[in-house]
Amino acid sequence: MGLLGTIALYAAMWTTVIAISLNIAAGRSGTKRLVNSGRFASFAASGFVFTASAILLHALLTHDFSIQYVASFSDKSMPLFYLIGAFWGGQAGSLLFWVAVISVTLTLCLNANKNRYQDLMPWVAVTSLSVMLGLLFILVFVSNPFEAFHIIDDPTIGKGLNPLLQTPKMVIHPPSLLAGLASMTIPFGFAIAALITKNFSNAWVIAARSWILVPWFFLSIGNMLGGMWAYEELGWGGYWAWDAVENAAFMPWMMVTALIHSLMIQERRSMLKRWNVALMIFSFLLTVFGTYITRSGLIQSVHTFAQSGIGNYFLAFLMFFSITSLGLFVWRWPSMKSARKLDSPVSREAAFIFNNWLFITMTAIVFFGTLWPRAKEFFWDQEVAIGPMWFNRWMVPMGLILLALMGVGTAIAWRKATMKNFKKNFVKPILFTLVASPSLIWSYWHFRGQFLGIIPSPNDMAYSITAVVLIIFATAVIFEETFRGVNARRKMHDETLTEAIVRLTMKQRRRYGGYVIHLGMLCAYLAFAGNAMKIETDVSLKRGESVVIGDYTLHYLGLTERNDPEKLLVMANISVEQNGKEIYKMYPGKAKFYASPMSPTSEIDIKSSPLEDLYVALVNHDASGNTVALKVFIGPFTWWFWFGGLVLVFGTLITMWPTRENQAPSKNIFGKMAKIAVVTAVLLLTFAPLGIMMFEANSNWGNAKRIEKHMLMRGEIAE
Amino acid sequence: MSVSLFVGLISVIFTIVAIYMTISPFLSSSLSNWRFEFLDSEIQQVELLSAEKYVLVNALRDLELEYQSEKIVESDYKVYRKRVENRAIGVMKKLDIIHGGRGWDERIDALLLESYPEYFQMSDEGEEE
Repeated sequence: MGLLGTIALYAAMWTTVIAISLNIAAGRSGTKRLVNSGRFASFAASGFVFTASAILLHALLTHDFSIQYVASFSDKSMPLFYLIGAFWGGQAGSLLFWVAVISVTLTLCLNANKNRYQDLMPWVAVTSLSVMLGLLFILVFVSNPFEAFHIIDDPTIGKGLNPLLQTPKMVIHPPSLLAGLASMTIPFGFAIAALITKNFSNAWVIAARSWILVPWFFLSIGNMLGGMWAYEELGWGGYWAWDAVENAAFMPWMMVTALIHSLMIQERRSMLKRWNVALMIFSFLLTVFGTYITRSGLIQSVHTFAQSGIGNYFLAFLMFFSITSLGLFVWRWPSMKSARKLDSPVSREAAFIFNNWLFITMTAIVFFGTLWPRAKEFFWDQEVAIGPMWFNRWMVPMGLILLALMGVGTAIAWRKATMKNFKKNFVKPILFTLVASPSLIWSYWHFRGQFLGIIPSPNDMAYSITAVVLIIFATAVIFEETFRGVNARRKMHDETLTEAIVRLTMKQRRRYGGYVIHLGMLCAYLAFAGNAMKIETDVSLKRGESVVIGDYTLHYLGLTERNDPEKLLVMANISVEQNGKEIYKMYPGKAKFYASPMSPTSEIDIKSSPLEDLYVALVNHDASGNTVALKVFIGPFTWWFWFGGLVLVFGTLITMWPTRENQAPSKNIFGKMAKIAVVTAVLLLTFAPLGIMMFEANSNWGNAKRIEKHMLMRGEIAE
Repeated sequence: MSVSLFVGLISVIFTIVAIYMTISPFLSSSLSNWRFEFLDSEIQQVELLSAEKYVLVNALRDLELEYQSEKIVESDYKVYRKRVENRAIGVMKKLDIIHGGRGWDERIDALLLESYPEYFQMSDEGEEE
């Protein structure tokens, strides 16, 4: 099995070399035969990668412990779900997964454009195949997932997956993030293709733009699930800590967000060509940079399990693609000059440009904050730490400006806003904001906030109130815009309200999909605003004692210990009361896996609702179980962060859904099957975060009971 | 287990078909491909103009919606519409010249005669036979 996998990897590498040569010849000659041949050679290279991936998957599912990777990251007791997760649980597997994602996206992209953009496509293929070649080189010569054991030390059992990664979210989070990072290769390919062919036309924009939404979509899901994992597994009560690896995935996301907005300006106004190409290049380089800092161990992070010795290869990779792409960029600088200028600085275009500058500045701040401690240590031998407070000091005000722009940019007219249409577009949303903001803030405080017994600091309060006011304004603008659009359509086409809403959304998918994405972001901002009222308490309780936090009373009832051959599970039993009535029981716990006793995993219990989350983590306990130390958080509006993520993903789907013009008719059954498979996979992935969240909130999967249940099911412990 | 085998089998079939298709363009007669080779530059131009047309049609659609939803005033609407319409007409004219069929075959034949005179010799021989 291992030998077959290695052969497939070698074949993939050499076929990639052939495909690169054919595509270069096709790109230079423009000969249709070579274009076709190059395309199929790219498919063949991808086919070998798929074959290698299928072999690794098969080895994991059949417990082929003669392969080192299988023995290191799986064991016979792992359920199917985690066995699939083990594919990307280790370094070599995640690299293979990365190559597989590039192969899938390249295959889809080349197939979708098989009769179009024949000047661009060979160069898109050359770029993507070059990235694949680099990764395949590492896979073949440095980190081969099919490396076998010698007969003497062939193990019969596996070591199992890192306990921290054995949660449902971690099975989906890494592939989403990896898919986001890997699929950035295609937009990068389009940037390089434009530079080589000097084609910066609208045809290029149309060809490239849908492939930019793909990495954005996956990075959004990946970042959100990463936040969910940190929130529920790491036990520090938050979903974002400005951890280096979180930052590494967040920076390309911000860059791509900026790019999505600026491409609209290029399409409408033929402006910002240099800017857009630069954004595409830097978004890709940031993904490689992120991988480099994660794999090299350059930066300390909660993701230390991802560190390995291949960081230097990624550094070489980063240098090669930086020099090549930036060299091309400088060479083509004169050809990218834009002919047109802004009609007015007071227009939607101007708002988008300002939004772009903000995103770039925010990316630069995160980049600086991530690297500065390391640079200080390297050059001046001084240790400095840059923590969440430093990041928040910069990012919160900038995030608020961005929020304001989300409202203003949506309401303001394209090309030029006059005083008359300014009044028309802004008066109603502003009036609504002036009425709704104080009413909603007062209602929250009167009916809920005051009972939490916390007065936020003036700074936090100012930020939160500003955020809420701006959220209400931006929401009002979106609804006002939609309402006017629907009315206009009804006037023009004599349609019913439902017909007008559906057809308007179908006809203007990007505009209204974008509005839905903005609504998702507004939900996330509400969660950020709620942090001002967040309660964080460390408590120590004896059996039978209780503590009041906010208006919740937590009674500690006792400790349960469960033991099986692999792990020890300790679980606190806590009854939660509100207004003198028990509302639910909570079971925070800790699991100590004997394979890694130094890193016990926290099984945090969270009761989540749109109003607030009650979050309890078991920090410590004495040997008899009479006393426990708990960390308790009350996080207002945290639920909205996850809900916002779902809305955002839903909006992205509306935007990405192909228009009639873009849909290539599927004549054969394989084409139809492929389409159904892609749509099903995308839908499953979209609803996976919410599905997991709901499943965990309504079952024992979100707390220590899930592990107990698993032990009971396997008969390792008695009832 | 059967799922992974199925995925593996599909991957292998996909790879074999792709390898065959990579080689197949070089197995067919080059002469039969010549005529299509010459269409490429025209196709590229048509693509560029079609994309331009697509963007301008969308711009007109957006402009109409913005005007109907009273986001822009009438005077601006008229100026912008005229501007976009003029550009769209220019693009359509160019598309019509290439795409409308006028001089299409003659241009290809001239290119073929210049680069591959043997193509015409073979065609003539075919007709004589």
